[in-house]
Amino acid sequence: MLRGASLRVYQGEVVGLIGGNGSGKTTLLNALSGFVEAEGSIHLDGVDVTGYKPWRRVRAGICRTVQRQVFSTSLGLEEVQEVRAWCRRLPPSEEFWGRLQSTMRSCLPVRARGRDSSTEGSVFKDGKVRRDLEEAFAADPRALLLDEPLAGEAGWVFERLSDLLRALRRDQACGIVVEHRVGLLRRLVDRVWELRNGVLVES
Amino acid sequence: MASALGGLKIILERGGLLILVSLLFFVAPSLTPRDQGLLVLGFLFATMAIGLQLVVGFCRLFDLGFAGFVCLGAYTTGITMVDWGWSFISAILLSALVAFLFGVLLGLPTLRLESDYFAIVTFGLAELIVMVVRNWEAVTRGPYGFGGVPDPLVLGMTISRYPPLDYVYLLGVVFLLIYTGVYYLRWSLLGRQMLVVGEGYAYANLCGVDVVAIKVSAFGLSAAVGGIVGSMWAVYFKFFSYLDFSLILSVQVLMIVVLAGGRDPSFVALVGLLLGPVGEYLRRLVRTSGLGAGSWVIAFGILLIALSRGRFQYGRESTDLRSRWISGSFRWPKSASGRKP
Repeated sequence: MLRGASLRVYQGEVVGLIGGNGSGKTTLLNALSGFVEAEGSIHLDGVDVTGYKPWRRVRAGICRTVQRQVFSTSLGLEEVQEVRAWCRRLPPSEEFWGRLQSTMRSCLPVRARGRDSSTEGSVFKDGKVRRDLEEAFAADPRALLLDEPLAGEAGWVFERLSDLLRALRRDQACGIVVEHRVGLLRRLVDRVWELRNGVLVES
Repeated sequence: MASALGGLKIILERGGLLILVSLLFFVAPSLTPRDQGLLVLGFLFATMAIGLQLVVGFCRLFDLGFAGFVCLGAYTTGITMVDWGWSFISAILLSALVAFLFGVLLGLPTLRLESDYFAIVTFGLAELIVMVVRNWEAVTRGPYGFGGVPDPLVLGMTISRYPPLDYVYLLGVVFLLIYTGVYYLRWSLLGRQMLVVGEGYAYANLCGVDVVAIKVSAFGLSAAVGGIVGSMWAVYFKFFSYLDFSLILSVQVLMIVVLAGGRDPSFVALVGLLLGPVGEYLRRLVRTSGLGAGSWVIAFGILLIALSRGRFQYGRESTDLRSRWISGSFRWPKSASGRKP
């Protein structure tokens, strides 16, 4: 259903992606992160990552979240963060961990140790957890692809998300956020693209 | 019951297994030779279980072919010790190496498959090894079995077969060494990546883990452990044939790992220590009762079903305690060295 989409995202910029149901937003993210084969090419920081498998793209710096949170039940959050950090750089420096901790602390201030590792991670209001964001940040992304991060919640996630994206911009990384709530999205991102009939149109 | 078992697991974590094994070492000389034999079997199966755990427990791959690598190890040791006159230490090292190489070479093309096919393929690989052994008469004595493995010489001492006390210590020490290895692996980067792979192909890719490489590593390492156990098998049983390394052995070890939940080496080892001899004991019991040599499998199956029903009830609890313990995270400083202190 994607017919020819080309976009360029600059360092320190966060782009929004909107479109109707089934317009191919998630498919585009899948193609960018490698889960779906696509014609064309993808470059990150000048490196051609087109032929890379999904895990190699993560290692190059393209990280994504998925619409329905997936997380591990046998590994705690810190363990997964270690794995992700090592996948990006060998070895992760003290400075990196310090930066990650301070980012997380400033953006997602309430942490809870849940009953099991699936609820571990930063807690937003009402005890909800966004562990996927913490894991994604541990991978030190150069390009963060967020698939419906507001997740249909009311605006309380919005604050935290805008903090996180600000941190992302500060680190000179870029982001693509897929959302269908256009109003909130425009306040989060710098530019908005729309997927209309399989092509990208600036909105 | 559930919390008691959970508490037991916590104790096991803190080196309780070492204490248990030390107790067993202490008690062993006063046991009858028959009980010492059961202890030997316990260590054998416990080692096999923690070896298989890397693939089945960590990576959550349904591996039905473990017995093939045990077979490989046994015959490698047999051939090198009997035909080539090698020492036991060299034989065991070669067995481990051969099994590891086979594991990696056979794993590379097959580990790309999805889990349903993986089970069939691993079974096929084991059968392949067993069939080669059965037919290559010049080297392996074929279907007549391999015998005459001499008593091994370890550190200047001859390990004698009767009573099996010497083997209790030998196998116990090897078990402890491998257990230590697996335990450190669990907390190493490689082990964590295996656990991530176990969470699913999609999640592992999201985490940036090279799924195929990790699966092949797990498969190779587990094969190496199988080879080491096979080596022990050869010197302990002294006579073995391709029939000893059938699917039933693979299933026995698989069941131990599955019952024990797979992710915790101490618990898997404990279950192996307990259930290993039970399987063999049942086999002998049923044979002497005249029900037919194969029917012990039914009894074993019934036992496993009974045990597994109990397990599902506390399964979630024990996972809970385990992950709670992990998430306590007082064990690793943020030095990001990837190693448990």
